Amino acid sequence: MFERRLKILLIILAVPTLVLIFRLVQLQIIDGHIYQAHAEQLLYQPPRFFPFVRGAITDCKGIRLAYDAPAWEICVDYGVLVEDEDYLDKLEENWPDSQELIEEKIKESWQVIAELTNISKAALKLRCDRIVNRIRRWKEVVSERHGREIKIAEERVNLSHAVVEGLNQEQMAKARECLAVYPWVEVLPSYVRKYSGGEAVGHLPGKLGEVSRDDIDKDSNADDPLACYTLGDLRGESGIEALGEHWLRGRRGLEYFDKEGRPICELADKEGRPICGAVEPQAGQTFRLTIDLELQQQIYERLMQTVEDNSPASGGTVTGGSAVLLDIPTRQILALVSCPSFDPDATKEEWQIIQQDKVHCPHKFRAVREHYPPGSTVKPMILASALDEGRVRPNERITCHKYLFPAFQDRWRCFGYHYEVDPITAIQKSCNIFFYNVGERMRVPRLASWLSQFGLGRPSGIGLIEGGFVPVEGSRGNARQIAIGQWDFRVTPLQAANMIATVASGEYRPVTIWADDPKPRTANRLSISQQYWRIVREGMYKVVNEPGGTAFGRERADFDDHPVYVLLGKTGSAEAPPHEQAHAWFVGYLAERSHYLDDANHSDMNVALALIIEYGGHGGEVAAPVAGDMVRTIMAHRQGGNEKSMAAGGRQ
Amino acid sequence: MTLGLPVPTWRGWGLLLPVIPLSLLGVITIQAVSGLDHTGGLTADVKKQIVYILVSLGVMAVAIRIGYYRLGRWSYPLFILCLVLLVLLAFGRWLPEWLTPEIRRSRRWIRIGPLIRIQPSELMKIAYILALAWYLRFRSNYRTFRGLVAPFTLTLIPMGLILSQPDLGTVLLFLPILFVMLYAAGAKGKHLAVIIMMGIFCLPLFWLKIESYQRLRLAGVVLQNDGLREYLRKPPKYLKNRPTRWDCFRPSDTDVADWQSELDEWTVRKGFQLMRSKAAVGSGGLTGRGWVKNIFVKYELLPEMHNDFIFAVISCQWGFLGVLIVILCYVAIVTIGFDLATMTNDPFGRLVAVGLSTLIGVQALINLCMTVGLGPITGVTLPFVSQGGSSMLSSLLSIGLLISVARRRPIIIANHPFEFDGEA
Repeated sequence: MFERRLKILLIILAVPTLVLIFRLVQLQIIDGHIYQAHAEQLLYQPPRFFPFVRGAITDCKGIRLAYDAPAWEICVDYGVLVEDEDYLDKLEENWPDSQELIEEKIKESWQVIAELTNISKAALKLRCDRIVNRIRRWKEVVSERHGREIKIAEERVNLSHAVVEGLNQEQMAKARECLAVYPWVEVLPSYVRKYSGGEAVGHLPGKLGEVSRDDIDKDSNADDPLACYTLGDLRGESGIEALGEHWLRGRRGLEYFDKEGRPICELADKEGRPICGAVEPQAGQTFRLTIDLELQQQIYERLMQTVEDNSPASGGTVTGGSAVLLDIPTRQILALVSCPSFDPDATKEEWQIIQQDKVHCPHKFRAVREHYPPGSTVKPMILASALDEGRVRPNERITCHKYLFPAFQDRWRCFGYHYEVDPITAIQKSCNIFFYNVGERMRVPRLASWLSQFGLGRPSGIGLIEGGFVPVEGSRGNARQIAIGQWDFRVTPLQAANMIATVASGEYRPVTIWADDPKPRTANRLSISQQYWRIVREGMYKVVNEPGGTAFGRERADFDDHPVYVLLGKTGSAEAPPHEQAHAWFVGYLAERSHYLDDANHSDMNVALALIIEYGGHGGEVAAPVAGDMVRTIMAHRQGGNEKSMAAGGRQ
Repeated sequence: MTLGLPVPTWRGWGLLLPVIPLSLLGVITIQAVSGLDHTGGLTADVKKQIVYILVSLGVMAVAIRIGYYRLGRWSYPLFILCLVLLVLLAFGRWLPEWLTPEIRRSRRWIRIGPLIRIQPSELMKIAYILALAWYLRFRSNYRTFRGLVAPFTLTLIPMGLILSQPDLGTVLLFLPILFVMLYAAGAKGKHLAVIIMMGIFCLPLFWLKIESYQRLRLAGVVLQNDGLREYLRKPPKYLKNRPTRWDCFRPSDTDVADWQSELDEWTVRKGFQLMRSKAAVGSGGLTGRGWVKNIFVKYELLPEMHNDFIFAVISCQWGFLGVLIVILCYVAIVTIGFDLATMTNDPFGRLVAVGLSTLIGVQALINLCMTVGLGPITGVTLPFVSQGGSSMLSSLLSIGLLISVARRRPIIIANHPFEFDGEA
């Protein structure tokens, strides 16, 4: 019986053994290929991306205004940031003999980082929370898009994220030495954006900011995994950084191999070609501006001097100013100055102090973003359009008795008794009464359509966010006011400069700040005939060059005796109620003395200038002397530049 | 009733025939797994394993020298000693950490001195077999239903203690041994069948009693099926208030989302070991990938490669043919063990031989089933192959006892025990 029972037991034990063998046959022979494929998948390693160098922003001569400088950052594994238990257990295996808990080691590493970087532990904690929140948010976005929970690449516990950025070489060496014992901390190379243009370029380069969900949704490179925006990327947020984003942005580098070192080709570029293995990062292209840094600095210093001398702190009323220089033939911006300004390389703390200045508001980008009533500076343009429309005859005379309506002396005034005024004198002396009549004859809609032809109330073409407004409807009274550049009528200094360049050349053209701008900027010749332009330009000539002109004289523009070149201009004193003082304007351009009435769009010297001094007072008294200095600077600069470029083989 | 014939006493040494290749296989596999960083030479792990084998061989020799019968007289004290050690572990959380360290959420080891750690449950397996055999050897009352109470009590006490460690894998060994020994001793099949039926009816109770992570581990046997997971992920047809069918099994203390992620991420979390081990076994094919060369060893893609999952490495390296040889070795051990049992007519020797060969066979079976996804993943080692001193010691001690059973000359004049054919 015992033997029989043992036999039965053997048979019972044989059943699971046979099942086991059958299972092995199934796993290894029948389905072997499936599991082999599965094993191959285990060799997969996620791709590693490498940062690219963002293109530099330079001035027209190639002097860098913004560039990526090499720096290092301290990165901490995600598993440690979120205190993933499994990951911490795994890390603990690094110290098999230590009785100390991994939590304490991690605490110790934070302490070391805090001491190295002088950032408090609380601030570090805040940074970590921000990183974790960002990744969680991103996970939500991706999951929402797919309709189910998706595990995103950034969540990998062993992927490290930058906690402290911008370390220099010395700090890096020290950090590497001190943090080497903690395997969850890495010190990795990266780049940090430097702005070297100084205060003179201030607002121009703009800022970098982290990409938002909106940016990622609208990304034109979304189908290129190496160029598309990903979580934590920086992109141009304002200024030239935003304008030249596509140009400045490079392409990430890639390393995508499995554990055996075979390239993985799962990614594809825009055209659908597979991207395999290793790809070198591609640096972004250099964004060359038309701005001349040297000229910009000189203009800025001259303007800053006036602003500082007349600031409320020194008993004046001036809060700021702006100057724009345009090359008339090409409409390239030579200088775009806002005063006061700030160092674009300012740290966050410095930036907060800058924003606290509520009197001068250095953060305002006056040249492009701020708008002012243009005042009398619009008169040459109004006159040209009225002549073309036939509302004013070239030899017509209008009488000025200082008041348009003697019964209402507090409104519709002129600066003096001009008596019989012809169009040329009206410009020269800036007679309001003459232009009240012109405005009344033109009416608001006609005026608005002409203003728009001169580029007012619409984008100038620079590509940045701009101010400016032109009313399209209004009463006769409104029309009168528009004709002298008041009422709800606003222009930016940049628009004013382009307006005067249009008067100088007879054609409108969008401006640009990008030296390699591929966009066609076709010139649009205005319908105004040459004889009317001559009348307008004669008036502008007399403003600066003949007695009685609002900018004539040693104390004013002081530019009537140059043998070759002549300055044509127009002053403006734009009332800005409730403030007592008016904005002081000067707009003008340089032309050759021999044919200053002709279109000035041939020579290098044809430069248009718009200058405003906020709450400066009378344009002729305040703005004209500054403008005169600036024009001399321009001439010296351009002549010097010409000689230099001639020596180097001539202008291209 | 038959008279025994004189049998040669050397037949027990035949057991070494399968044991030696298995141990060697273990050594070279451990070398493959742990010797990645070094070029040539034996790694520290291998040296340790060789020391374990030599020590265990020594213990085995001592066991043969002493003889199972003399050891049998000490079986009750041994059993009680092991029980005491287990009780010590059960109260381990109140004892100093150096004595009963907690490793991977369970207390299984007792530390004696700085180097030696023993696992009482490994020793308990042998002490239990000796004690049970000692209890059963001259009785026949277990042929009544009431007589089964004592052997079951003897089993359930150590089982309960080991379960509290917790160590589900070792617990699973005890019941097959008990049933096999009782059956071999002549307990009535219908009684055992009734008990098994009762046990099956009690399974739901057991299911409710265990922790949810243990439940998930048991459920892994069926959850490895992609189709089933997909089915569970869908909402149930009639119970509208459940988001998915899977939700029906959620323990009350678990969050809905957490429970859902248990299923969604099964292949990378709870099922991760099983998926990897199946991939390793499957990628071996018919003839295997060769020693060291496979990716699982190269990149340490398998957990517990030198221990619980050593069979996966073996099947990846030597394929179906290699695996067949391993299985044949265990089959040989069990059949030789049973054969030895029939050769002696000492009742104690018979039961010890049956119990010990069942222990080795069932342990191997549980480990292999776990590796290929036929059973739940438990910490049962593969006898003679897996790395580990306690396991090697208890396995070779079993072999030593088996050899010693064969060496003892049969008492020719005695009746053959456990022959109840004539009775009702």
